[in-house]
Amino acid sequence: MWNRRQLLRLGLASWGLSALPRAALGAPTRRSKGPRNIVVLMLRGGVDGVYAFDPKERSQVAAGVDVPYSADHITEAGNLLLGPHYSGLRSFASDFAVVKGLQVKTANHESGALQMVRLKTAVSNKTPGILDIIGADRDDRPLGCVTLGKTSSFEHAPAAFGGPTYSADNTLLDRLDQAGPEEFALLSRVYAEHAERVAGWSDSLARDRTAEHLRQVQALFTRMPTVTPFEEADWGRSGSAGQLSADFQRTLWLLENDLARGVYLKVYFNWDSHFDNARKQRASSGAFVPAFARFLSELRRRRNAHGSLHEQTLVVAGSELARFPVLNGNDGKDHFPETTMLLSGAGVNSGARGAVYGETGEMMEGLPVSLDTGRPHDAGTHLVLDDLGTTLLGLCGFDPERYGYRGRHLRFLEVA
Amino acid sequence: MKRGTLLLATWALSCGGPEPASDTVELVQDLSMLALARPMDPSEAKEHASALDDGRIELGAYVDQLLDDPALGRVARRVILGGGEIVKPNHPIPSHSVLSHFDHEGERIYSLRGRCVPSTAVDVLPWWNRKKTIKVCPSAYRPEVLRDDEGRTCGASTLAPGADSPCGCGPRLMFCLKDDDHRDEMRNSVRSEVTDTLAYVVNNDLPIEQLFLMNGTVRDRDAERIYVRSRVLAGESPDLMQVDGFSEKPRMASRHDQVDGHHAGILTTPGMLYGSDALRGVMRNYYEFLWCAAASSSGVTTQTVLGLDAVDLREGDGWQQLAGMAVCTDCHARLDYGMQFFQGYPSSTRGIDFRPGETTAGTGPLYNLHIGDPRGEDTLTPQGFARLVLTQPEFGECMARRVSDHVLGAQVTVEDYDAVMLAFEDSHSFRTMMRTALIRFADRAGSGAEEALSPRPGLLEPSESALADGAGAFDPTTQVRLSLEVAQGVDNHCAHCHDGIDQMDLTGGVLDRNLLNAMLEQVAFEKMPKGAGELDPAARVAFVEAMIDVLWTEDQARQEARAFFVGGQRAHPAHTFNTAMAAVASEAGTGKRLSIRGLSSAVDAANQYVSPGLLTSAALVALDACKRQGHSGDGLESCVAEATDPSVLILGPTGE
Repeated sequence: MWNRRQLLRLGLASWGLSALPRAALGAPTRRSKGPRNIVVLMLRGGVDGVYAFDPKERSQVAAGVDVPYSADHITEAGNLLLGPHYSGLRSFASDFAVVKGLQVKTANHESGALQMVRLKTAVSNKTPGILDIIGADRDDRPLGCVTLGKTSSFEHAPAAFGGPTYSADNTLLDRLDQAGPEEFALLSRVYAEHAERVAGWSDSLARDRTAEHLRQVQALFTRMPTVTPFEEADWGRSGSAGQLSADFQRTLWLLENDLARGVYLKVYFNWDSHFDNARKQRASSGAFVPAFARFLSELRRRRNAHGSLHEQTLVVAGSELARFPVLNGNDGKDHFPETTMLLSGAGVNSGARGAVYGETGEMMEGLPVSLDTGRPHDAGTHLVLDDLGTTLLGLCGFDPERYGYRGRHLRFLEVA
Repeated sequence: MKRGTLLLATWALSCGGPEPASDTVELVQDLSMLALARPMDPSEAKEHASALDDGRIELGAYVDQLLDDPALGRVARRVILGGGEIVKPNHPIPSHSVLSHFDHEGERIYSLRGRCVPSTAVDVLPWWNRKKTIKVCPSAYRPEVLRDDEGRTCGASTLAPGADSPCGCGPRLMFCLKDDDHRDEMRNSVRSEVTDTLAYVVNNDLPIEQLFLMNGTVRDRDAERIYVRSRVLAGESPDLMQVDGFSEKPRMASRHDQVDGHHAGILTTPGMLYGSDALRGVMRNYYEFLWCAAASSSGVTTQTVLGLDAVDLREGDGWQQLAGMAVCTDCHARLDYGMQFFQGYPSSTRGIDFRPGETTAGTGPLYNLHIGDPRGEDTLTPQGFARLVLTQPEFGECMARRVSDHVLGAQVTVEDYDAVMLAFEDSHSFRTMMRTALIRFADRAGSGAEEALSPRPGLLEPSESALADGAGAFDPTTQVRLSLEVAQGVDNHCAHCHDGIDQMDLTGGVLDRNLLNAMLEQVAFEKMPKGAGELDPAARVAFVEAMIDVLWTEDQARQEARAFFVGGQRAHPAHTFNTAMAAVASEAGTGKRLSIRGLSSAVDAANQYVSPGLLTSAALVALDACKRQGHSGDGLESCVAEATDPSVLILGPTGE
């Protein structure tokens, strides 16, 4: 009589496992919809919008609001205006949709970080992340979502995979790189058996999820021998920018090899500029923008069986909060409970020349907008982070209310 | 049954000894991992299990033996302070100034800003070597510069060596480190001061308040030097930096008070004081450790912030407005009035020192929930702060919650929490609280309590108990009809705090759909009622399920909502990362394990679940450990299968 392990070696038992209906495996039964991949870039600390996607001329702001450049430092790129630190992104601007004046309802980094993982306000550390939700519909990819960058426990979510925290050494992905094809085959067999056994435990939601996570890891081990090994190219950056280049390349590797539906990448530079705002913003964005431009360019260049990575990937980038519009006594800027979000790629309505939704006033405060057009409107309403999360879930075919998202679905952000 | 149990059973049979119940062996291993963060040697576990089974030792006495192990002190660090790093790499502890060097004619010359003309280098006796001078470039020395024109002291993160910083290494090179290894050693000393002091209090079974109150800490000579540097900056002699007579090895020692009430246990250690770059962040950490008051800032709008009419909310005089303003007061009354007790410690951007001249004289108030919730007044010193904070009920409740969460995880009930709270009130001892929780865990393990979270029969049937008789005009797009279960849940669990809010009026059996949605989320993810201390997990699940039933009528919608709100998309609770990886390596037969850094390793016990990251790490650790043990072929596969069995990672019942 053959035992299960021997059967697994022949691939029979694992065939049986994969042949089970998706519903029985705990996966959503809906048809996959929306962008194939989602990348969330969390620009930790608070990018100063006036240098980035919300540049102003001095005549447009109230007295005291810090606009430390003249109008000729603002770059016009299609429908977008780019601040002096972000002009390096002008060649990609036609694909950008910028949402200004998005209320995050916190002026605290930690609450902001909890919110960015969920794209939603008023959350707790028990609330699953938005990529947990979307990643549950992972189609034929092994992993739902992967987290990269200098993350902390605030970025943790129940389906977490990744890191590192503060150390760039001995990361989970580094270790994964070191295993060989036979080892992956062994691990795949072992985890297939674990998954099948756990699926037979007494019925509970935790049982379903543990079995699902085992299947994700088993699928990863099965896929790894066919994956191009990760090799970091020299993008000409060092220090923190070098680490970000590595994280961007890791993201591209995950997408190119169709290994995960979502990637949450935390970019931890010095944007939290309570002191010397101009220098810190310049240094941080000066490190970020070239690496981000290269990432966007690689998304356009690289392809997999599903087409161009750019066409199948939605990139969402923004900070957990923004900078107060007036300098404090240390030439710094404190916290401001609004942010600007950049969306680019699959499913996003950026028009032919880039698109700007929302507007800010003379104190950089978000103004009411029409929910039909996203343009300023006196009788409109303020945009909130929850609106973005709700829209993203809707875009991906989920009913947001079933996941606690009670924001407005911003149809203007979607490609018709 | 856990895999280790199978191995033990085989061993017992082959040796002819009495075989302990597999559940008892499993329990012994779980208790060891919870109390000491390590699995027990399988043969030892079997012996203990046999002794428990045949009554040679009572459970209480066994738990007492377990808690005698000094490893309890290390576990306490994680329980009380969480899993985060004490000294983060981006914090200037003790300084960002690391010397580089070049050699000239056989002599080593140290510099901070590139090479100098060798003949200009000067001889300096550095603080790290009391006998031998070294050669230092003049621009790296600058012994006369202790601070800049703006009052920032050298060592501040903003005065790291650069063209625009006036600082060198200062007298005795006290702002500098010899090299990167030296910096790592110093950081370890600073970190160890916190963890060793914590272990000292726990292993000596002192009242847990002492950890935040006593003058002394356990520290070595390097950690002492950070305190001494502060005294030098306040005007004492640089020769103090030699710390003559201070033990090179860590030991319990008192600290010099620069002002009365200066020190308060680990709250005034550099490792804790520079956990954030400004006092408000430090206070946020402290209230989280001491009162479990996690960051919950939300609801603040742009208009609120602009309405403050202040431009310096972080360090300037905006704090009093912030602390009293609606919405902001919920956090800032606590944080900002708390900060006043620590005046004298500038932000790390301004200096790593204590400034007696910047302390505030007299007494000041402490607040908790908001400006209308005062908690007494004491002298404006760290000691005064500690005295006030530690005598509030939130401190004991927090300690009880942390211990309950660590040991009982998602299964913790109100009764468990009350028992641990009683242990705190009776003893103020971490060890006694752990003992109570571990015994309750053991009792739970034998009773199959996980059934409480099993699906409720008939869940997917449409709700038939609506209470909407005579509800008037009902709009199904914006309103929901309440069931008896939801109405009772609101009445039992919400009304005592939210009574009087019109929207919560249940008369007529109809509620705003958005409000019920918000309530569902708050209850499901433990924002309301807060934590396990106020609502049993089973009661929470029942309340959440009742709300789902009235919000959605279709099976698919209910199923999806239930997986999200009831299950939280979470797998089984797991041991903390390092404990879990130690267990995997132990199952593979080795104490050594592959080092893996990842997000899972930063997560606290209450949020550690069987995630894809944890499972992948377990696989790689097992593979490495089994190969180290010389396994290959089928033996390797069997070894990896045993070591990665999910039950090794899962905390508590598996449902197998």
